[in-house]
Amino acid sequence: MLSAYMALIDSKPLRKEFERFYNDNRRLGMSKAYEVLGNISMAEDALSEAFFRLAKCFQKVHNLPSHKLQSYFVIIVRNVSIDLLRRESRADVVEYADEHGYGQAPDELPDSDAAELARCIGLLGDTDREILYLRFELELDYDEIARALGITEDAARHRVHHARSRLRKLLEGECADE
Amino acid sequence: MNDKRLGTALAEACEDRLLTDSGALPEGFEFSEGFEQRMRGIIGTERKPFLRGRLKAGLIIAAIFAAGFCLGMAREPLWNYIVQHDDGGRNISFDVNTVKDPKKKIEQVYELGGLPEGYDLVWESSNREACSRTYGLKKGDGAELYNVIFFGQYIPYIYYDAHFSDNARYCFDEDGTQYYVDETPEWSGAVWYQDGYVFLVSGSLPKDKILDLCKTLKKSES
Repeated sequence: MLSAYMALIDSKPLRKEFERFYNDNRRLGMSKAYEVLGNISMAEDALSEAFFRLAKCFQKVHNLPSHKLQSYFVIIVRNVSIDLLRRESRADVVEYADEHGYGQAPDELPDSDAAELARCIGLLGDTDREILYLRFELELDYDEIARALGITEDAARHRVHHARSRLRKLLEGECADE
Repeated sequence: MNDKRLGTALAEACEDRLLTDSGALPEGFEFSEGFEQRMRGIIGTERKPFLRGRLKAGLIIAAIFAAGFCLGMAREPLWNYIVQHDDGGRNISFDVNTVKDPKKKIEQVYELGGLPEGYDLVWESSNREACSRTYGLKKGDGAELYNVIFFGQYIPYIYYDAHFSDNARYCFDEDGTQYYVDETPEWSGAVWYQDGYVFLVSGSLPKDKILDLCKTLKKSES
């Protein structure tokens, strides 16, 4: 069948790979979307949008180990779902204030042992933790993060910087005090 | 602390939680037919039709063939494809030897002048050999994608291994333009050769609408 999908993924082997990924993971994605939205119809909308976003950058991420590709996909699903929920509930979108000198080089994180680092990461919100995961574990560029989350490249830089600053503060202060 | 160490700690903190299915879906949940259709549009997977569906598809193919014959399907093709049969369809490659003036790079960008109302550009890509654009119809005032139309412009040398269903046929319109048209109940697409390039339009629209869209092709001013 001719489809718009041809535009998104050029080669046939890659298309097959994407189709396999779709069949293997659509139920997990649906479950994650439903967790956020609590509504089947909205969750299906979010899931199809998430697969569309994944298709757009599949060429760049398909070589990730399978569990990391799945994690990446779930993060997309969760973000699309949260965006949808915000629009539906007309809640204010969280804006990140430029209180950390965004635009300057990000601060070096202080050294800490593995247990302390894990504890501080656990204190971060899901959004902060997941965007740091995309940047520092999957090593995605800002434009790739932006495409996955449906935000601008500048907003992606901003969010990463914000999350990293929050983690630094936790490592320096609140977390160490606990 | 270096980024590698941070990444490892983040993987430990995130991956299990992300990959665990909490079982939130209601028992017996099945995806809706609307979702399946939408995803077939993005994924391009074939659905095995029921008998009624097969009969309907047969009638549609017969109608296309009859209409195509009236429009001149019996004519000798102006350009041709090299066809390889594949599971559930065929892979076609543009036969460059059947045209006289194939371009070797994109010298002039083209665009569609008559997109249906509500479709916005959601993705585009271009290089020396191909330009493509995907337009999406948004549902309501939200940003979620509902339907898509794809437009591609290629130099003929790189148009190969495109997947078509076994329904695909040549046809000529009243102006003598030759199209290779594919149609299923959910999707239609048309490919044609013009001004040294291969063009493709496809989407979740009926074949006639797709062909109308093909006729709005124009040189891009930008």
